[in-house]
Amino acid sequence: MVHVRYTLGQDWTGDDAIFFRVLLADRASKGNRLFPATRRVRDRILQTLDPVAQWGLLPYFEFRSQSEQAALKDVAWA
Amino acid sequence: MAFADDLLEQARHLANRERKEPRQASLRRAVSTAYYALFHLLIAEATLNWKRVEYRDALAHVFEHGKMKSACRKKMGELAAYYKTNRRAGSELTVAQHVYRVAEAFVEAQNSRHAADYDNSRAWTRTTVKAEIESVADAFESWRAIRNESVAQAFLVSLFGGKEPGKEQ
Repeated sequence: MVHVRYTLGQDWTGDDAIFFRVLLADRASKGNRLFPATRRVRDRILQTLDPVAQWGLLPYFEFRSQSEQAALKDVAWA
Repeated sequence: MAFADDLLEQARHLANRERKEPRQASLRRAVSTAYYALFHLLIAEATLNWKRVEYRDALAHVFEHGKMKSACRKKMGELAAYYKTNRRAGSELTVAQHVYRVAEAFVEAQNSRHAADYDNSRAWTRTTVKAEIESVADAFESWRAIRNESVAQAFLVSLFGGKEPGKEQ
């Protein structure tokens, strides 16, 4: 994992939510490595923050690789 | 192969359809299809309990996306509270973890599906989409590991939108 960004907001039904944007190293986002990597990141964040129990926030995760972000130059992910 | 499995396979196909630069249309349809794979898996499992086979399709129409999401959200909250007091490894905790993964994947896939179908401003990447699909695939595996457990069957009933069996409202 390279870094995590987040935004507080609401999901499509209006429930309060926290949206995590996780930038992964290219190596971690390839083939069979992707899901274990995303699961590890997700579990670590949820165990540490526990947003459902702590604040009633539904967690949402989006993952992107470094090379994808380099191409998109998305400021929300920088 | 069941319809839900076919949809999951189709989602993977769409995510990999273009070798180099994936089209947004392929990625967005992949996300939507992955959600419907899980949606139909859970509905098929729920209606399987209806003895009269000829009415199962009609029963499937009773399920609503919003109510299913609310039930999943409620279950996630209950299980998050349960984890705080029940940390000892055992079959009960394992079942709870599988139910949590199914509920979590459903909520997340539904929100992604909504964005994929209606938000034209969002740029999807193959990594985002594959992670989403594999989360749904993991939920399939979790479901199949616990589908005969009472807790799992009660969870299915809750997806109708009413009170879960054995729970106070």
